[in-house]
Parts: sequence; C-alpha cells; structure tokens
Amino acid sequence: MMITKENIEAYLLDFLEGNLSQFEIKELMDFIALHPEYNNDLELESVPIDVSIQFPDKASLKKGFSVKPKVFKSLNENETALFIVAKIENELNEKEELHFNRALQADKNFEVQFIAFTKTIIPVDISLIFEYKEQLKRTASLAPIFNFRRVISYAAAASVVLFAGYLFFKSSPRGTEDKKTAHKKAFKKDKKTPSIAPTESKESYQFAEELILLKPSLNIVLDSTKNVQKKVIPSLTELMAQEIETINNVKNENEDVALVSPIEVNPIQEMIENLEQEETLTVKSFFIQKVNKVLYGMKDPNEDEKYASVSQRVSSATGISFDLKRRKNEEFHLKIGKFSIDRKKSN
Amino acid sequence: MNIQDYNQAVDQFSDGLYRFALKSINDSDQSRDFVQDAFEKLWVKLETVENAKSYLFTTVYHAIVDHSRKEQRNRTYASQVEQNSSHELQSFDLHEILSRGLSELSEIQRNVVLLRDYEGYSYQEIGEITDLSEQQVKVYIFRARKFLKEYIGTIEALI
Repeated sequence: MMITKENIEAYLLDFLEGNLSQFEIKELMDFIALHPEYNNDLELESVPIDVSIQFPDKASLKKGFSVKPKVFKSLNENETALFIVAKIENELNEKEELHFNRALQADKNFEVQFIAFTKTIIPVDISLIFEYKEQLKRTASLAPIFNFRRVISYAAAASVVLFAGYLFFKSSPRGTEDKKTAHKKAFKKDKKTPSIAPTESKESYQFAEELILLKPSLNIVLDSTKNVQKKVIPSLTELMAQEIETINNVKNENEDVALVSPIEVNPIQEMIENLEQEETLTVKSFFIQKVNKVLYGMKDPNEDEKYASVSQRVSSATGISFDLKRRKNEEFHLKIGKFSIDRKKSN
Repeated sequence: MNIQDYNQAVDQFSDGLYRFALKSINDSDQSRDFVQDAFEKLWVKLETVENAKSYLFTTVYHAIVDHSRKEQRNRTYASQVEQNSSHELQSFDLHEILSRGLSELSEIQRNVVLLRDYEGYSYQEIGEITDLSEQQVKVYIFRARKFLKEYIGTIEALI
C-alpha cells in the first residue's frame, strides 16, 4: 500500500507501536523525507508510566482479610469483623497488627467485638480420644483390621454361637442315634443336592466355628473336593441347626469336607463356578488359603497364631475377655467373659 | 511410607481424625468407622502416599461428606428436635453453646473451621482437603466465625 497524506497517521501510529516491517519503515522514512511537516510526529513517544501514582486503596479491593489500617476509622461493621477475624486467623501484617492494637486500646466497642470473636475458636476437646489405636497398628504379618461395627456384630454372633452351643451340649447328647442310619438319612437328604457328602471333620468344624464367630452373615458352602456343589445356608440359626445335625448324625473321618466362608463372596463364588479349571488346587486348600489371607493376613498361619489373632481382636474391640484356644489334647476351648465352652475330642 | 511410619501415623493422627469426624457428624460409632476405614485405605496405599496426615484427613472428610448426603433425607425431623432443644439451655456453658453453634453451621463451614481450629491447617491445606480454593476457605471461615459469634451472643442474651 502506498503511503499518502490520508493514511500517514495510521503508518505513524504503527511505527510508534513497532508494528511496521523494515520495508514499511523505509517507505515511511522516504515519505517523511519528501514531506518534512510530518517529521515532528516521528518524535512522539508513548506516555511514560508514572510509577509514583498508585491507587490509594488497593487493599480494600482485595478479597479476604486484608484491611488497610489507614481506612480503619471508616470501616463498616462487616469490615470490622473482617479485620478482627484476620487478627484471630493470624493474617495481619506488622502494620495492621500495630493498628489493631491501637484500635483495641482506643475503641471499647472494638474490644467487645474482638472478645466476642475470640469465643468462636473451637477448643480442642482432648477428652475425645480414639481408643482403638492398637487395633489399627500393624506388624508385617498382621491381618487387616476389622470395621468397628462389624466386630461388634461378631461379638453378637459369638453370643449366638455360645447359646446354641449351650443348647447343643445340654439337650443333644452325641452318639445316641445309630450312626449307620444317621449317615443314610443324611446322605438321602443330600440326594436333592447331589455330590454333597458332609461329614464331621474336627478340624473343619472348628475352623467353621471360628469363621462363624468372625462372620455372622456366614454362608457355609459344603463341598467335597472333587464334586462341587454349593449349599448356601441363609441364616445363622439354620446354619447352627444343620451343623449340629451333621455332627450328631454323620461321622465319616475318611471324607474330606471343606467348610468355608465366602468372606469375599463374589471371588469365591466365581471360584466355585470356575473350579473345573483349577485342577491343581483343591477347593478346601484354596478356601483355607483365601481365608487365612483375608482373616489373618498370613498365607499359612499356624493354629496358635490364628486363635491368638481372633481372640485379641474381639477382646480389644468389645472390651470383653475373649479367649479362643485349641489345646494340645485337641480340646476346643472358648471363653467369653465369664462363660466358657470346653469341647473334648470325640472318639 | 513403611510400617513404622504407618504405626506412627496411628499414634499421631487417629485422635485428631476421630475428633474431627465426631464433631462433624456427632456419631461416635460412625466416626470410629471413618477413622478405621481411612487407615485401611492408607495401609493399602502405603507405598504411594507421601503425606499421611493430609491423605487421612482428606479421606475422612470425603467420608463425612458422603455420610452427610445420605443422612440429609432423614435430617428434617432430627433438626427440628435439635432446634427446639437448643432453646432449653438453662445454664451458661460456652463449650456447650459453641458445640451447638457448630452443629448449626453448614457442613462445609463446620468442616473448614474444625480443620483450622483443631488441626491448625493453613488455608491452602484445607483447600486441598476440601477441594476448595484458598479464597473460598477464607470466606467460609469468616462466615462461620461471624455466625458463631452471633449465635453465642444470642444465646448469652437469652440466658
């Protein structure tokens, strides 16, 4: 574009703002050489910034607690509150602190307001302490902790087990029924759900009992190692009734029965459903490993470790003395508070 | 973090977490669960968590918020009862009045004030825990203090 007298001002402005190319600058200089009356315009400079000029009340524009002390006298109620809260929150700078202290001495109402605000600081109630610290702590081999309410429910379940156990020992003497007939009866009943051959196994019974204590919503799955069949028992009462019936009526030490707890229902059910693919792992060993891991955080805890872990947790969660042991003579010994059950090895 | 750090965190922070939750939701069993769950989560993420305190308080805070949302539906009647009983104060006990005032605050105001007063968290830290900006935290704290001051004044005047 040619520079003319009509567009020279636009070129001069672009020149001052540094928007012209080298070529355009040369063109502009050539034009001014021909028209010297525009020479003065080239000397125009942008207006220098006067740094000495500042907005007088910048602080008042800011949000938050910063209130400029100079304008204190004119603070309205809300600004006064801001100023005091800023003091309480340790947000005042040195100058503001100074001004604050002067205001405090000079203005009675300000002092009253300040005292009122100091009452809003929430004191730490040191009487409130978390009493279950020891439960939360871990050692390398310690299992995940239990939810407080869950543990309380375990205790409740333990009471049910105790009561049921009491009734069992009191009213159902073992071995009174003909064993052969009982076994036939049980097997006949289980024909509806084929492949189940529940038997008493002291180890698995004790294991199941322990699981019941820990998991009141327990669904027991009875299965043989080869032929998998789920049998979900919906309630603890029914579970106990069936367990007692099983133990009273069925005795076959040679059968391998796994009593397992679906602590994590889905993975375990899924595992049952896909069990055919798990050729190398028996159902029982799988579940025992799984339960050991979930309950104790240990791959293969010994019996003492298991029972100690259960006892310690239930005791500390409920505040009731809880002692679960299996002694060397294979007695099963459970003590809750004043109550205890001793079960001797059946021959 | 290692196991020692974790156990140290239990000693250092479980009380504070418990107080924070208890003062916020006024339910001791639920508060215990929140604390236990927070430490459970910390345990799972032991190797990745750098600031245990912040992680724990953030976890408990979110648990409180979730809990409050669930409880909100049932709150109408309870709050009416609470309001009625608040006028039955017969004696002056600042601590009691303050507790009642605290329960009258909005959930977010109550939580930021508790984090500030109980734990001495900075605005920035509170902002990180509550997903608020620093300015929002300041505003909530200011409003909470103003409300509490007026609440205390009103109750004192009544008594």
